[in-house]
Amino acid sequence: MSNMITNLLTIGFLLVGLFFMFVGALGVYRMPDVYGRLHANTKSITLGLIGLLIAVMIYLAPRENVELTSLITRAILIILFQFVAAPVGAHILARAAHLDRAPITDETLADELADDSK
Amino acid sequence: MITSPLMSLANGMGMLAAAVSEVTFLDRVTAVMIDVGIVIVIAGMLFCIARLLLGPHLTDRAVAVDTLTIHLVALVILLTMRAEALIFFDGALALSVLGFVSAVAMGQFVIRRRLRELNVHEEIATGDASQLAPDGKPEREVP
Repeated sequence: MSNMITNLLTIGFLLVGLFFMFVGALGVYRMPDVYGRLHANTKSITLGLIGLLIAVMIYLAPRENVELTSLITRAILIILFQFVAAPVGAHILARAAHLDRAPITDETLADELADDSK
Repeated sequence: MITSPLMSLANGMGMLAAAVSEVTFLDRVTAVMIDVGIVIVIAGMLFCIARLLLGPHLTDRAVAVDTLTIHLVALVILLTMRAEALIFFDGALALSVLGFVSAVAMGQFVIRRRLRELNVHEEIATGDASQLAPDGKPEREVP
């Protein structure tokens, strides 16, 4: 019974994580300019990675050959680091792209940083 | 045949232990789902590699490499689930740190290179961009 619940929860979180990972990769390929690609990269990929890490925690926690504290500590450490690192990296890349005049799509409505620097 | 409640309880617990130890249908479904997940993550990595080769600007390629690294972390996690042991799991942490550091390094490289083109002192990069208006480079081009 508990085995069935573990498997069902693993499949559910695995599906959520894989969906967001794949959507993020598709967004990185399909978006029209750098800022859209950063959008897909940061948010969607972070959520997908969190889903996969919750799945691995649920799947491996009942195993006897797996140390529980080691598993949980590393998984939560990866989640926290990704929460901190993804926005910082995206901010630096977006700032570099804007400073280097990266090509921008003509569907952009407002570019306030360029307006301010005039 | 005389059965006491204690004996039937022991018999039930033995059956429960046998049911836990054997491989059920849902175990096989989960194993197949992990394999399908590896295929999906590799398909996502192919999209990232396509953007890495196509990307018109340097930051496009940096974003593609960042996404590729996080897909690699996901691949390591799925391999951990498949191996049912924690032998790869340190690699996931190291790879996520490496992806962040490479993104920051690429961003700083692009910023420094642009500022060296403009002959602007580097401390302006952290402040406002008002000093950067009189440059030789044309306005932002629309693709």
